[in-house]
Amino acid sequence: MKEKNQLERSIEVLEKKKLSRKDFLKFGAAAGTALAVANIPKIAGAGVAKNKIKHRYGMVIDLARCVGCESCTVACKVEHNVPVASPKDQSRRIEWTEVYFKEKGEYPYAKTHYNPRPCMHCDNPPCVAVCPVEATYHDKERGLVLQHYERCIGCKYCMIACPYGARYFNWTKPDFGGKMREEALNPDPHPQLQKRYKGIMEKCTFCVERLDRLEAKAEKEGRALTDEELHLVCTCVSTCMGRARHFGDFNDPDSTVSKLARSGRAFRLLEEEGTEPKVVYLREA
Amino acid sequence: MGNLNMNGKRDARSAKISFQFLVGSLGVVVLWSLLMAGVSFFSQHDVTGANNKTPWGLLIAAYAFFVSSIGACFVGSLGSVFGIKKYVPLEKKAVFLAIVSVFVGMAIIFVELGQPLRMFFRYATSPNLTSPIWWMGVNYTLYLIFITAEFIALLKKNYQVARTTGIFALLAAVVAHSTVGAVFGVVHARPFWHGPYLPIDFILCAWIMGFAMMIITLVSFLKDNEHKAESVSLIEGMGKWLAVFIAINMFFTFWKVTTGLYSGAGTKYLATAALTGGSLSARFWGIEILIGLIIPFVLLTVPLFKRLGNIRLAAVLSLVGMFANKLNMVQAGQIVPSQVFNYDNYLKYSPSIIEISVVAGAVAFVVLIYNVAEKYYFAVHEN
Repeated sequence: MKEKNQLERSIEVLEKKKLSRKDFLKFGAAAGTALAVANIPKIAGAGVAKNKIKHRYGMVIDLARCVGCESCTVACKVEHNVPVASPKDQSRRIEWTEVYFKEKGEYPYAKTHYNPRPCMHCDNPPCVAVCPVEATYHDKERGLVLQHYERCIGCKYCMIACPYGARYFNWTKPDFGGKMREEALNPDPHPQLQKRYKGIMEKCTFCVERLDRLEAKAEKEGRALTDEELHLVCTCVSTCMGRARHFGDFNDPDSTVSKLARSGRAFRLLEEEGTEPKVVYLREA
Repeated sequence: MGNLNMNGKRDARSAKISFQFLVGSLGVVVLWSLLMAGVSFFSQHDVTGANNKTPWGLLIAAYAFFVSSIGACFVGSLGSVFGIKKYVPLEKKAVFLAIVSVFVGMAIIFVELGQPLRMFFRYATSPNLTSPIWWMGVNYTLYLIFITAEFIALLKKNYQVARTTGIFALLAAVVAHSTVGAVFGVVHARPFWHGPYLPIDFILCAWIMGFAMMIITLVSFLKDNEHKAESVSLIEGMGKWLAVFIAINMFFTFWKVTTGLYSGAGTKYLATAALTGGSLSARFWGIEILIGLIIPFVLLTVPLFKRLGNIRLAAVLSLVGMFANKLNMVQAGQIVPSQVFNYDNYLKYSPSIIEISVVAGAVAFVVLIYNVAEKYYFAVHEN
């Protein structure tokens, strides 16, 4: 008798469970669909649609003018407190804008080619798509790809996803090169210039802290930024002794960068990746 | 386990010494790996062999290997979910191994991440639903919840609940593990990985790993009791399935290599060429193919070799080959430098002592904890 009651009770429980399981599945399906639908625009293409970005800030680099002096690399490192790497650890060095050297041809036609590579700040950034915690994000107003350093978990997925190798990981505690260099660190309190530490990513920000200052100034004066002001915002651009680099707004058809990008010598790296990079190169003549 | 004494019976005392020795030696390896992991956390210097051009190394490959142990969940679900009577006796062991190995895989990732502690709250506060790594974390958490619930239900002999949670665990396992494959498969910048095949391949490898793990477990702890004949029949059945999945894997591998090499140019060709004829070729042909696929297949199918010991050997070798497969995959995807770099040679990576120690400790931990569980629970509660 007792067993039968227990059996009946357990059948009741199972039936109840069956009902609640159904509800759970229904709820789960509904929630899952809602979540998926809400994210279709995101899944269809990382970052914000091109025509929705207000200012598409980008760079033009004239390879005919670059002499491979790497002043841009050094100036950027000094400006942004980028750590130095020991000679034994060069495979882990961090250079936000790196110059690649390539020797082509045989004597007497041998030539070295220089290819300065900042972050491309892609309109369709693969790094933003893959970051699990949105530590790297696409700035909708200015088309920049920036970092939330405090969110980065150091999974290095963005490094894997970037076809340009523009992202750098702090494999070790950053070394600023000794006492003299420590004293020369840029004290700007802007959040993008915060001291990075072991275990997080960093990369070129198109000098967003200088851009922010400029924008604040322009807003105070109640005007828009001019192309002349924008042209030399980036440290690498203003330092370049060959005047090979230019910065500006690609959404402004009259800006320096837009005009140069219409040149017959203009090309972008790895177009086939579909990343829509915002650094345009001008071929050597 | 244990030596036979003069009367041909297992000597209880020597068995205990053998168990102590096993626990002791594995324990030392685990402690050493914990020490190395600690060095990795607290050291201010670089401790891995990875660098900015090849950021993912041995630890990622080991993680992919350990989480493939959801294959043990697949094998266990043959009993607990699909009710195939033959597999019911091993469901508890399979589920236990599936839980432990995934935990160990996650521990390895914990060491690999730059800022692992943030993961726990950043996944909730700033999720990115387009990130396969985010989905992987969420799905594996769900999987662990379901499979732990299944394990508890099995321990309490609550078979209806075990079946329900087992179904969810199985679904979560398939979704979670194919997402791990998708972590590699969605990356357009790495042509060797890009495409739909890695998520599928990961599930295939999980089945191989599941059967291999359960064969090793059952053969190693086979007892001379009334269940022996059933167990032997089960082992032989699993051996046949392992052979089938190894054959499927050989088929996949053949086409992966052929399609990769066919064009003769491009990043995918260069990566596959590194695998078959370059720096990865010794590990590919020697370990992944010969030790991991050909020898086990021969041991499992040729009647001449039909012995329990050989079935277990085949399982062990296929696991070794599986690990090499994961490491080869991770390395081949990164070995060809981006065209942007203007760098003509293949990139180099070799794991550091710390990475090797952590992985060795992970293996030792799984073996150790299973031995302890077998001795104090499974052997005692065998029914």
